Amino acid sequence: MTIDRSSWFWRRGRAYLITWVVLVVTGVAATPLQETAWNQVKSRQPDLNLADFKDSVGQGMVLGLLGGFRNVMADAVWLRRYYFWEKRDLPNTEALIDLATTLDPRALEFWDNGSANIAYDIAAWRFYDERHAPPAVLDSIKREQAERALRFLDRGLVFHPNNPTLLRDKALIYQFRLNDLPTAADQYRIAAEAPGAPSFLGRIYVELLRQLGRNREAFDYLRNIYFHLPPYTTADERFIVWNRLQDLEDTLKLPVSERLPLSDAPPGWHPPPPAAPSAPPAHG
Amino acid sequence: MNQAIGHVWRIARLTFLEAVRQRFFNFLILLAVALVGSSYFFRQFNFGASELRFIADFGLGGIFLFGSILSVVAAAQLFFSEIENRTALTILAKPVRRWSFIAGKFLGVALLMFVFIALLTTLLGLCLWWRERQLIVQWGDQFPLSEHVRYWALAFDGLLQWLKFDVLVAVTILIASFANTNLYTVIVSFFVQLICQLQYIANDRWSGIKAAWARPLVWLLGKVFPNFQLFSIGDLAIFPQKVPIPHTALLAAAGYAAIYIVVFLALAVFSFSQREI
Repeated sequence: MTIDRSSWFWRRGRAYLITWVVLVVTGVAATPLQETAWNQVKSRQPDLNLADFKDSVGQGMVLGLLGGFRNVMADAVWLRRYYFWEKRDLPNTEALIDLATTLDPRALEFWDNGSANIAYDIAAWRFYDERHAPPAVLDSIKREQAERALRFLDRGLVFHPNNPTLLRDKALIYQFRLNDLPTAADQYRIAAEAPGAPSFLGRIYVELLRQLGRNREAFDYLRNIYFHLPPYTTADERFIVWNRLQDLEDTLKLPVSERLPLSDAPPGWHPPPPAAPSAPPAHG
Repeated sequence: MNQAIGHVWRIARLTFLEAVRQRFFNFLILLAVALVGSSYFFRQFNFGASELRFIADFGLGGIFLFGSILSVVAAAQLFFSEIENRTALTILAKPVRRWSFIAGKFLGVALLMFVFIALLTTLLGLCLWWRERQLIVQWGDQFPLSEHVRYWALAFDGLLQWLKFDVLVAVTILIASFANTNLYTVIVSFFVQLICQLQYIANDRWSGIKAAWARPLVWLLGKVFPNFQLFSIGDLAIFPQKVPIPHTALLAAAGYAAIYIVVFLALAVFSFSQREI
Protein backbone atom coordinates (compact mmCIF):
# COMPACT_ATOMS: atom_id res chain seq x y z
CA MET A 1 0.00 0.00 0.00
CA THR A 2 1.44 3.36 -0.99
CA ILE A 3 0.78 6.66 0.75
CA ASP A 4 -0.50 9.47 -1.42
CA ARG A 5 1.81 12.29 -0.37
CA SER A 6 -0.32 14.91 -2.04
CA SER A 7 -3.42 13.93 -0.06
CA TRP A 8 -4.95 16.33 2.45
CA PHE A 9 -4.54 13.72 5.16
CA TRP A 10 -0.80 13.34 4.59
CA ARG A 11 -0.12 17.07 4.39
CA ARG A 12 -2.21 18.01 7.40
CA GLY A 13 -1.12 14.97 9.41
CA ARG A 14 2.53 15.76 8.80
CA ALA A 15 2.04 19.41 9.77
CA TYR A 16 0.24 18.48 12.99
CA LEU A 17 2.86 15.90 13.88
CA ILE A 18 5.72 18.31 13.31
CA THR A 19 3.93 21.00 15.37
CA TRP A 20 3.37 18.68 18.32
CA VAL A 21 6.88 17.24 18.24
CA VAL A 22 8.42 20.74 18.10
CA LEU A 23 6.26 21.91 21.01
CA VAL A 24 7.13 18.89 23.17
CA VAL A 25 10.85 19.32 22.44
CA THR A 26 10.56 23.04 23.26
CA GLY A 27 8.70 22.22 26.48
CA VAL A 28 11.43 19.80 27.54
CA ALA A 29 14.23 22.18 26.54
CA ALA A 30 12.61 25.12 28.35
CA THR A 31 12.02 23.11 31.54
CA PRO A 32 15.14 24.40 33.37
CA LEU A 33 14.11 28.02 32.71
CA GLN A 34 10.54 27.27 33.71
CA GLU A 35 11.64 25.57 36.94
CA THR A 36 13.90 28.49 37.90
CA ALA A 37 11.07 31.01 37.75
CA TRP A 38 8.21 28.71 38.79
CA ASN A 39 9.93 27.50 41.95
CA GLN A 40 10.28 31.12 43.06
CA VAL A 41 6.61 31.84 42.33
CA LYS A 42 5.42 28.73 44.15
CA SER A 43 7.56 29.27 47.21
CA ARG A 44 6.27 32.85 47.59
CA GLN A 45 2.65 32.16 46.70
CA PRO A 46 1.74 29.06 48.72
CA ASP A 47 -1.86 29.45 47.49
CA LEU A 48 -0.62 28.14 44.14
CA ASN A 49 0.75 25.05 45.85
CA LEU A 50 -2.03 22.58 45.23
CA ALA A 51 -0.87 20.12 47.88
CA ASP A 52 -2.22 22.50 50.53
CA PHE A 53 -5.80 22.10 49.40
CA LYS A 54 -8.14 19.20 49.81
CA ASP A 55 -10.15 19.74 46.66
CA SER A 56 -7.22 21.31 44.94
CA VAL A 57 -7.92 21.02 41.24
CA GLY A 58 -11.17 23.00 41.39
CA GLN A 59 -9.65 25.68 43.60
CA GLY A 60 -6.52 25.76 41.47
CA MET A 61 -8.68 26.57 38.46
CA VAL A 62 -10.33 29.46 40.25
CA LEU A 63 -6.94 30.78 41.35
CA GLY A 64 -5.38 30.39 37.94
CA LEU A 65 -8.16 32.08 36.06
CA LEU A 66 -8.75 35.14 38.18
CA GLY A 67 -5.18 36.40 37.99
CA GLY A 68 -4.85 39.82 39.63
CA PHE A 69 -8.55 40.04 40.43
CA ARG A 70 -8.29 37.32 43.05
CA ASN A 71 -8.13 39.74 45.94
CA VAL A 72 -11.11 41.74 44.65
CA MET A 73 -13.15 38.56 44.30
CA ALA A 74 -12.04 37.47 47.77
CA ASP A 75 -13.28 40.76 49.22
CA ALA A 76 -16.62 40.37 47.43
CA VAL A 77 -16.94 36.81 48.76
CA TRP A 78 -16.09 38.03 52.26
CA LEU A 79 -18.83 40.69 52.09
CA ARG A 80 -21.29 38.07 50.86
CA ARG A 81 -20.36 35.93 53.86
CA TYR A 82 -21.87 38.60 56.15
CA TYR A 83 -25.24 38.09 54.47
CA PHE A 84 -25.23 34.37 55.32
CA TRP A 85 -23.74 35.04 58.75
CA GLU A 86 -26.66 37.33 59.60
CA LYS A 87 -29.05 34.62 58.48
CA ARG A 88 -27.17 32.05 60.59
CA ASP A 89 -26.70 29.94 57.46
CA LEU A 90 -24.00 27.53 58.59
CA PRO A 91 -22.98 25.73 55.36
CA ASN A 92 -22.83 28.90 53.26
CA THR A 93 -20.95 30.89 55.90
CA GLU A 94 -18.30 28.20 56.23
CA ALA A 95 -18.09 27.66 52.47
CA LEU A 96 -17.55 31.37 51.82
CA ILE A 97 -14.95 31.64 54.57
CA ASP A 98 -13.08 28.80 52.87
CA LEU A 99 -13.44 30.38 49.45
CA ALA A 100 -12.32 33.84 50.60
CA THR A 101 -9.20 32.44 52.29
CA THR A 102 -8.41 30.34 49.22
CA LEU A 103 -8.73 33.31 46.88
CA ASP A 104 -6.68 35.66 49.01
CA PRO A 105 -4.78 33.93 51.80
CA ARG A 106 -2.74 37.08 52.43
CA ALA A 107 -5.69 38.80 54.14
CA LEU A 108 -5.10 38.22 57.85
CA GLU A 109 -8.58 39.39 58.74
CA PHE A 110 -10.14 36.48 56.86
CA TRP A 111 -8.24 33.98 59.01
CA ASP A 112 -8.67 35.88 62.28
CA ASN A 113 -12.38 36.59 61.85
CA GLY A 114 -13.12 33.32 60.06
CA SER A 115 -11.69 31.22 62.88
CA ALA A 116 -13.83 33.14 65.39
CA ASN A 117 -16.91 32.51 63.24
CA ILE A 118 -16.17 28.79 63.14
CA ALA A 119 -15.25 28.34 66.79
CA TYR A 120 -17.78 30.64 68.48
CA ASP A 121 -20.62 31.81 66.17
CA ILE A 122 -21.31 28.58 64.33
CA ALA A 123 -21.00 26.63 67.58
CA ALA A 124 -23.62 28.96 69.13
CA TRP A 125 -26.01 28.43 66.18
CA ARG A 126 -25.62 24.70 66.51
CA PHE A 127 -26.24 24.91 70.29
CA TYR A 128 -29.49 26.70 69.58
CA ASP A 129 -30.58 24.05 67.09
CA GLU A 130 -29.75 21.29 69.61
CA ARG A 131 -30.88 23.19 72.72
CA HIS A 132 -32.91 20.24 74.02
CA ALA A 133 -30.06 17.77 73.55
CA PRO A 134 -28.15 16.36 76.56
CA PRO A 135 -25.02 18.30 77.70
CA ALA A 136 -22.74 15.63 76.26
CA VAL A 137 -24.01 16.44 72.75
CA LEU A 138 -23.45 20.16 73.31
CA ASP A 139 -19.94 19.43 74.54
CA SER A 140 -19.18 17.41 71.45
CA ILE A 141 -20.45 20.26 69.23
CA LYS A 142 -18.22 22.73 71.05
CA ARG A 143 -15.24 20.43 70.68
CA GLU A 144 -15.94 19.70 67.02
CA GLN A 145 -16.21 23.39 66.09
CA ALA A 146 -13.10 24.23 68.11
CA GLU A 147 -11.11 21.55 66.31
CA ARG A 148 -12.34 22.78 62.94
CA ALA A 149 -11.26 26.31 63.84
CA LEU A 150 -7.84 25.05 64.95
CA ARG A 151 -7.35 23.22 61.64
CA PHE A 152 -8.44 26.39 59.83
CA LEU A 153 -5.91 28.46 61.79
CA ASP A 154 -3.17 25.94 61.05
CA ARG A 155 -3.89 26.48 57.35
CA GLY A 156 -3.68 30.22 57.93
CA LEU A 157 -0.33 29.83 59.66
CA VAL A 158 1.06 28.26 56.49
CA PHE A 159 0.50 31.62 54.79
CA HIS A 160 1.31 33.77 57.83
CA PRO A 161 4.01 31.84 59.65
CA ASN A 162 4.53 32.83 63.27
CA ASN A 163 1.79 35.43 63.15
CA PRO A 164 0.98 36.48 66.76
CA THR A 165 -2.71 37.19 65.98
CA LEU A 166 -3.38 33.70 64.63
CA LEU A 167 -1.31 32.09 67.39
CA ARG A 168 -3.31 34.06 69.97
CA ASP A 169 -6.56 32.90 68.33
CA LYS A 170 -5.40 29.30 68.77
CA ALA A 171 -4.58 29.95 72.42
CA LEU A 172 -8.02 31.51 73.01
CA ILE A 173 -9.74 28.47 71.53
CA TYR A 174 -7.73 26.10 73.72
CA GLN A 175 -8.49 28.24 76.75
CA PHE A 176 -12.18 29.00 76.32
CA ARG A 177 -13.57 26.33 74.00
CA LEU A 178 -11.54 23.27 74.88
CA ASN A 179 -10.76 24.23 78.50
CA ASP A 180 -7.28 22.85 77.93
CA LEU A 181 -5.25 25.26 80.05
CA PRO A 182 -1.79 23.64 79.72
CA THR A 183 -1.99 23.70 75.90
CA ALA A 184 -3.50 27.20 75.96
CA ALA A 185 -0.57 28.36 78.11
CA ASP A 186 1.93 26.87 75.66
CA GLN A 187 0.13 28.58 72.77
CA TYR A 188 0.21 31.95 74.55
CA ARG A 189 3.94 31.52 75.10
CA ILE A 190 4.49 30.74 71.41
CA ALA A 191 2.34 33.74 70.46
CA ALA A 192 4.16 36.01 72.92
CA GLU A 193 7.53 34.99 71.50
CA ALA A 194 6.50 35.55 67.85
CA PRO A 195 8.03 38.60 66.18
CA GLY A 196 5.93 41.74 66.69
CA ALA A 197 3.77 40.18 69.42
CA PRO A 198 2.18 42.57 71.93
CA SER A 199 3.58 42.25 75.45
CA PHE A 200 0.18 41.45 77.02
CA LEU A 201 0.34 37.94 75.48
CA GLY A 202 3.26 37.13 77.73
CA ARG A 203 1.33 38.42 80.76
CA ILE A 204 -1.64 36.18 79.88
CA TYR A 205 0.78 33.26 79.70
CA VAL A 206 2.01 34.11 83.17
CA GLU A 207 -1.56 34.35 84.46
CA LEU A 208 -2.36 30.88 83.10
CA LEU A 209 0.80 29.50 84.71
CA ARG A 210 -0.44 30.94 88.02
CA GLN A 211 -3.81 29.28 87.51
CA LEU A 212 -2.01 26.00 86.82
CA GLY A 213 -0.01 26.39 90.04
CA ARG A 214 3.30 26.78 88.17
CA ASN A 215 4.18 29.91 90.15
CA ARG A 216 7.95 29.64 89.96
CA GLU A 217 7.82 29.38 86.17
CA ALA A 218 5.39 32.32 86.12
CA PHE A 219 7.72 34.44 88.26
CA ASP A 220 10.80 33.73 86.13
CA TYR A 221 8.92 34.47 82.91
CA LEU A 222 7.34 37.69 84.24
CA ARG A 223 10.68 38.89 85.57
CA ASN A 224 12.11 38.41 82.08
CA ILE A 225 9.18 40.33 80.60
CA TYR A 226 9.63 43.15 83.09
CA PHE A 227 13.27 43.69 82.19
CA HIS A 228 12.49 43.60 78.46
CA LEU A 229 9.41 45.84 78.33
CA PRO A 230 9.49 47.95 75.17
CA PRO A 231 10.44 51.62 75.70
CA TYR A 232 6.94 52.86 74.75
CA THR A 233 5.32 50.92 77.66
CA THR A 234 3.27 53.29 79.82
CA ALA A 235 4.03 53.82 83.51
CA ASP A 236 0.70 52.21 84.48
CA GLU A 237 1.58 49.03 82.56
CA ARG A 238 4.97 48.89 84.27
CA PHE A 239 3.27 49.25 87.67
CA ILE A 240 0.92 46.33 86.84
CA VAL A 241 3.82 44.04 85.95
CA TRP A 242 5.81 45.10 88.99
CA ASN A 243 2.83 44.56 91.34
CA ARG A 244 2.23 41.09 89.89
CA LEU A 245 5.88 40.26 90.40
CA GLN A 246 5.56 41.27 94.03
CA ASP A 247 2.40 39.16 94.40
CA LEU A 248 4.27 36.18 93.00
CA GLU A 249 7.20 36.78 95.36
CA ASP A 250 4.72 36.68 98.25
CA THR A 251 2.96 33.60 96.92
CA LEU A 252 6.29 31.80 96.49
CA LYS A 253 7.43 33.11 99.89
CA LEU A 254 10.76 34.00 98.36
CA PRO A 255 13.55 35.01 100.75
CA VAL A 256 14.65 38.63 100.57
CA SER A 257 17.83 37.62 98.77
CA GLU A 258 15.81 36.25 95.83
CA ARG A 259 13.32 39.11 95.64
CA LEU A 260 13.75 41.94 93.21
CA PRO A 261 15.34 44.98 94.91
CA LEU A 262 13.15 48.05 95.19
CA SER A 263 15.73 49.91 93.14
CA ASP A 264 14.39 47.94 90.14
CA ALA A 265 10.88 49.29 90.70
CA PRO A 266 9.53 51.50 87.89
CA PRO A 267 10.07 55.22 88.42
CA GLY A 268 7.13 56.82 90.22
CA TRP A 269 6.00 53.60 91.86
CA HIS A 270 5.03 53.72 95.54
CA PRO A 271 4.35 50.68 97.66
CA PRO A 272 0.62 50.28 98.32
CA PRO A 273 -0.40 51.46 101.83
CA PRO A 274 -0.85 48.65 104.35
CA ALA A 275 -4.43 47.43 104.50
CA ALA A 276 -6.42 49.10 107.30
CA PRO A 277 -7.59 46.73 110.05
CA SER A 278 -11.19 45.74 109.49
CA ALA A 279 -13.72 47.53 111.70
CA PRO A 280 -15.11 45.50 114.60
CA PRO A 281 -18.63 44.20 113.99
CA ALA A 282 -21.25 46.54 115.24
CA HIS A 283 -23.28 45.33 118.18
CA GLY A 284 -26.68 46.44 119.22
CA MET B 1 18.58 40.41 4.02
CA ASN B 2 18.28 44.18 4.44
CA GLN B 3 15.44 44.09 1.94
CA ALA B 4 13.64 41.38 3.98
CA ILE B 5 14.08 43.39 7.17
CA GLY B 6 12.70 46.41 5.34
CA HIS B 7 9.65 44.37 4.34
CA VAL B 8 9.15 43.19 7.91
CA TRP B 9 9.40 46.73 9.26
CA ARG B 10 6.99 48.14 6.68
CA ILE B 11 4.38 45.43 7.37
CA ALA B 12 4.85 45.95 11.12
CA ARG B 13 4.40 49.71 10.80
CA LEU B 14 1.26 49.37 8.72
CA THR B 15 -0.14 46.72 11.08
CA PHE B 16 0.49 48.98 14.06
CA LEU B 17 -1.07 52.03 12.39
CA GLU B 18 -4.08 50.01 11.29
CA ALA B 19 -4.53 48.73 14.84
CA VAL B 20 -4.24 52.15 16.43
CA ARG B 21 -6.87 53.54 14.05
CA GLN B 22 -9.35 50.85 15.06
CA ARG B 23 -12.18 51.91 17.34
CA PHE B 24 -11.84 48.58 19.20
CA PHE B 25 -8.33 49.43 20.37
CA ASN B 26 -9.29 52.92 21.47
CA PHE B 27 -12.37 51.69 23.32
CA LEU B 28 -10.43 48.91 25.05
CA ILE B 29 -7.62 51.21 26.09
CA LEU B 30 -10.15 53.68 27.49
CA LEU B 31 -11.79 50.93 29.53
CA ALA B 32 -8.43 49.66 30.77
CA VAL B 33 -7.28 53.16 31.73
CA ALA B 34 -10.56 53.73 33.60
CA LEU B 35 -10.21 50.43 35.46
CA VAL B 36 -6.56 50.88 36.42
CA GLY B 37 -7.18 54.50 37.39
CA SER B 38 -10.17 53.54 39.51
CA SER B 39 -8.03 51.13 41.55
CA TYR B 40 -7.21 54.14 43.73
CA PHE B 41 -10.88 54.56 44.67
CA PHE B 42 -11.52 50.85 45.16
CA ARG B 43 -9.03 50.69 48.00
CA GLN B 44 -11.83 51.05 50.57
CA PHE B 45 -12.95 47.65 49.39
CA ASN B 46 -9.83 46.09 50.82
CA PHE B 47 -10.04 43.90 53.92
CA GLY B 48 -6.68 42.39 54.26
CA ALA B 49 -3.74 43.06 51.99
CA SER B 50 -2.25 46.49 52.54
CA GLU B 51 -3.59 49.35 50.46
CA LEU B 52 -0.71 49.65 48.04
CA ARG B 53 -0.69 45.91 47.39
CA PHE B 54 -4.41 46.07 46.73
CA ILE B 55 -3.99 48.91 44.22
CA ALA B 56 -1.15 47.01 42.52
CA ASP B 57 -3.13 43.76 42.35
CA PHE B 58 -6.22 45.49 41.02
CA GLY B 59 -4.26 47.37 38.37
CA LEU B 60 -2.35 44.26 37.29
CA GLY B 61 -5.67 42.40 37.11
CA GLY B 62 -6.94 45.06 34.70
CA ILE B 63 -3.80 44.82 32.58
CA PHE B 64 -4.14 41.03 32.48
CA LEU B 65 -7.84 41.10 31.52
CA PHE B 66 -7.71 43.76 28.82
CA GLY B 67 -4.25 42.74 27.61
CA SER B 68 -5.45 39.19 26.97
CA ILE B 69 -8.46 40.42 25.00
CA LEU B 70 -6.43 42.91 23.01
CA SER B 71 -3.58 40.57 22.10
CA VAL B 72 -5.89 37.80 20.84
CA VAL B 73 -8.47 39.95 19.05
CA ALA B 74 -5.96 42.37 17.52
CA ALA B 75 -3.67 39.61 16.25
CA ALA B 76 -6.54 37.62 14.73
CA GLN B 77 -8.28 40.65 13.23
CA LEU B 78 -5.16 42.20 11.73
CA PHE B 79 -4.11 38.88 10.21
CA PHE B 80 -7.49 38.03 8.73
CA SER B 81 -8.16 41.55 7.44
CA GLU B 82 -5.27 41.00 5.01
CA ILE B 83 -6.68 37.64 3.91
CA GLU B 84 -10.32 38.77 3.64
CA ASN B 85 -9.50 42.04 1.85
CA ARG B 86 -7.19 40.11 -0.49
CA THR B 87 -4.36 42.51 0.34
CA ALA B 88 -2.29 39.52 1.41
CA LEU B 89 -2.38 38.32 -2.20
CA THR B 90 -1.02 41.65 -3.43
CA ILE B 91 1.68 41.74 -0.75
CA LEU B 92 2.81 38.17 -1.30
CA ALA B 93 2.75 38.57 -5.09
CA LYS B 94 5.66 40.98 -4.61
CA PRO B 95 9.06 39.69 -3.55
CA VAL B 96 7.89 39.44 0.05
CA ARG B 97 8.54 36.11 1.73
CA ARG B 98 5.86 34.53 3.85
CA TRP B 99 8.10 34.65 6.91
CA SER B 100 8.43 38.40 6.44
CA PHE B 101 4.65 38.68 6.41
CA ILE B 102 4.30 36.64 9.64
CA ALA B 103 7.18 38.48 11.35
CA GLY B 104 5.78 41.85 10.26
CA LYS B 105 2.33 41.05 11.59
CA PHE B 106 3.81 39.84 14.87
CA LEU B 107 6.00 42.90 15.31
CA GLY B 108 3.10 45.23 14.54
CA VAL B 109 0.86 43.66 17.20
CA ALA B 110 3.81 43.39 19.63
CA LEU B 111 4.37 47.13 19.19
CA LEU B 112 0.69 47.73 19.87
CA MET B 113 0.93 45.64 23.04
CA PHE B 114 4.03 47.55 24.09
CA VAL B 115 2.16 50.87 23.85
CA PHE B 116 -0.77 49.37 25.75
CA ILE B 117 1.39 47.94 28.56
CA ALA B 118 3.60 51.03 28.79
CA LEU B 119 0.57 53.29 29.12
CA LEU B 120 -1.16 51.19 31.77
CA THR B 121 2.00 50.41 33.74
CA THR B 122 2.84 54.12 33.86
CA LEU B 123 -0.70 54.91 35.02
CA LEU B 124 -0.52 52.21 37.69
CA GLY B 125 2.88 53.50 38.78
CA LEU B 126 1.43 57.02 39.12
CA CYS B 127 -1.52 55.74 41.19
CA LEU B 128 0.86 53.85 43.47
CA TRP B 129 3.27 56.77 43.76
CA TRP B 130 0.48 59.24 44.57
CA ARG B 131 -0.97 57.04 47.32
CA GLU B 132 2.47 56.08 48.65
CA ARG B 133 3.35 59.76 49.10
CA GLN B 134 0.10 60.34 51.00
CA LEU B 135 0.72 57.35 53.26
CA ILE B 136 4.31 58.40 53.97
CA VAL B 137 3.10 61.91 54.96
CA GLN B 138 0.36 60.36 57.11
CA TRP B 139 2.50 57.71 58.84
CA GLY B 140 5.98 59.18 58.67
CA ASP B 141 8.65 56.81 59.96
CA GLN B 142 5.96 54.30 61.00
CA PHE B 143 5.25 53.46 57.34
CA PRO B 144 6.79 49.99 57.00
CA LEU B 145 9.66 49.50 54.59
CA SER B 146 8.04 46.29 53.36
CA GLU B 147 5.21 48.36 51.86
CA HIS B 148 7.41 50.63 49.75
CA VAL B 149 6.84 50.14 46.03
CA ARG B 150 9.85 49.20 43.93
CA TYR B 151 9.18 51.11 40.74
CA TRP B 152 11.99 49.48 38.76
CA ALA B 153 10.37 46.11 39.52
CA LEU B 154 7.01 47.46 38.34
CA ALA B 155 8.66 48.49 35.07
CA PHE B 156 10.29 45.06 34.75
CA ASP B 157 6.96 43.42 35.52
CA GLY B 158 5.44 45.44 32.67
CA LEU B 159 8.17 44.06 30.41
CA LEU B 160 7.42 40.49 31.54
CA GLN B 161 3.69 40.98 30.99
CA TRP B 162 4.47 42.35 27.53
CA LEU B 163 6.52 39.23 26.76
CA LYS B 164 3.68 37.03 28.02
CA PHE B 165 1.21 38.79 25.73
CA ASP B 166 3.70 38.46 22.89
CA VAL B 167 3.66 34.69 23.41
CA LEU B 168 -0.14 34.87 23.19
CA VAL B 169 0.10 36.96 20.02
CA ALA B 170 2.48 34.37 18.51
CA VAL B 171 0.05 31.57 19.45
CA THR B 172 -2.83 33.49 17.84
CA ILE B 173 -0.81 34.02 14.65
CA LEU B 174 0.06 30.31 14.61
CA ILE B 175 -3.63 29.41 14.84
CA ALA B 176 -4.56 32.05 12.26
CA SER B 177 -1.95 30.62 9.88
CA PHE B 178 -4.08 27.52 9.32
CA ALA B 179 -7.56 28.59 10.47
CA ASN B 180 -10.23 29.62 7.99
CA THR B 181 -12.10 32.20 10.03
CA ASN B 182 -11.36 35.01 12.43
CA LEU B 183 -13.92 33.75 14.95
CA TYR B 184 -12.36 30.27 15.07
CA THR B 185 -8.94 31.83 15.67
CA VAL B 186 -10.20 34.05 18.49
CA ILE B 187 -12.07 31.23 20.26
CA VAL B 188 -9.25 28.69 19.97
CA SER B 189 -6.68 31.28 21.08
CA PHE B 190 -8.70 32.09 24.19
CA PHE B 191 -8.90 28.37 24.96
CA VAL B 192 -5.14 28.06 24.54
CA GLN B 193 -4.67 31.01 26.89
CA LEU B 194 -6.95 29.33 29.41
CA ILE B 195 -4.87 26.16 29.21
CA CYS B 196 -1.65 28.14 29.57
CA GLN B 197 -3.05 29.86 32.68
CA LEU B 198 -3.93 26.47 34.18
CA GLN B 199 -0.96 24.53 32.84
CA TYR B 200 0.63 24.61 36.29
CA ILE B 201 -2.03 22.21 37.54
CA ALA B 202 -0.91 19.61 35.00
CA ASN B 203 2.71 20.29 35.86
CA ASP B 204 2.13 19.89 39.60
CA ARG B 205 -0.23 16.97 39.36
CA TRP B 206 1.23 14.57 36.83
CA SER B 207 3.62 12.83 39.24
CA GLY B 208 0.73 12.10 41.63
CA ILE B 209 -1.58 10.59 39.02
CA LYS B 210 -2.02 6.86 39.47
CA ALA B 211 -3.74 5.88 36.18
CA ALA B 212 -0.97 4.70 33.85
CA TRP B 213 -2.72 5.96 30.71
CA ALA B 214 -3.33 9.44 32.12
CA ARG B 215 0.21 10.19 33.29
CA PRO B 216 1.85 10.58 29.85
CA LEU B 217 -1.17 12.58 28.68
CA VAL B 218 -0.89 15.04 31.55
CA TRP B 219 2.89 15.21 31.14
CA LEU B 220 2.40 16.02 27.45
CA LEU B 221 -0.08 18.74 28.34
CA GLY B 222 2.44 20.24 30.74
CA LYS B 223 5.14 20.30 28.07
CA VAL B 224 3.20 21.42 25.00
CA PHE B 225 1.68 24.57 26.53
CA PRO B 226 3.76 27.30 28.15
CA ASN B 227 3.13 28.11 31.82
CA PHE B 228 1.68 31.64 31.98
CA GLN B 229 1.52 31.65 35.79
CA LEU B 230 5.26 31.90 36.12
CA PHE B 231 5.14 35.46 34.78
CA SER B 232 3.53 36.51 38.07
CA ILE B 233 7.08 36.45 39.43
CA GLY B 234 7.21 40.04 38.19
CA ASP B 235 4.12 40.94 40.27
CA LEU B 236 5.80 39.49 43.36
CA ALA B 237 8.92 41.59 42.90
CA ILE B 238 7.00 44.90 43.09
CA PHE B 239 7.09 44.84 46.91
CA PRO B 240 10.15 43.92 48.97
CA GLN B 241 10.24 40.25 49.92
CA LYS B 242 11.81 38.72 53.03
CA VAL B 243 14.07 36.75 50.71
CA PRO B 244 14.72 38.86 47.60
CA ILE B 245 13.77 37.32 44.26
CA PRO B 246 16.98 36.43 42.43
CA HIS B 247 17.47 38.32 39.18
CA THR B 248 18.20 35.00 37.47
CA ALA B 249 14.57 33.97 38.06
CA LEU B 250 13.29 37.16 36.44
CA LEU B 251 15.64 36.69 33.49
CA ALA B 252 14.64 33.02 33.25
CA ALA B 253 10.99 34.07 32.84
CA ALA B 254 11.99 36.52 30.10
CA GLY B 255 14.11 33.85 28.37
CA TYR B 256 11.27 31.36 28.64
CA ALA B 257 8.92 33.79 26.85
CA ALA B 258 11.50 34.55 24.18
CA ILE B 259 11.96 30.84 23.39
CA TYR B 260 8.23 30.30 22.99
CA ILE B 261 7.80 33.40 20.83
CA VAL B 262 10.48 32.17 18.43
CA VAL B 263 9.09 28.61 18.35
CA PHE B 264 5.45 29.64 17.82
CA LEU B 265 6.45 32.07 15.08
CA ALA B 266 8.61 29.43 13.36
CA LEU B 267 5.65 27.03 13.45
CA ALA B 268 3.37 29.78 12.09
CA VAL B 269 5.77 30.37 9.20
CA PHE B 270 5.90 26.62 8.52
CA SER B 271 2.11 26.36 8.59
CA PHE B 272 1.52 29.54 6.56
CA SER B 273 3.99 28.42 3.89
CA GLN B 274 1.75 25.45 3.18
CA ARG B 275 -1.42 27.47 3.03
CA GLU B 276 -3.13 28.30 -0.23
CA ILE B 277 -4.36 31.86 -0.14
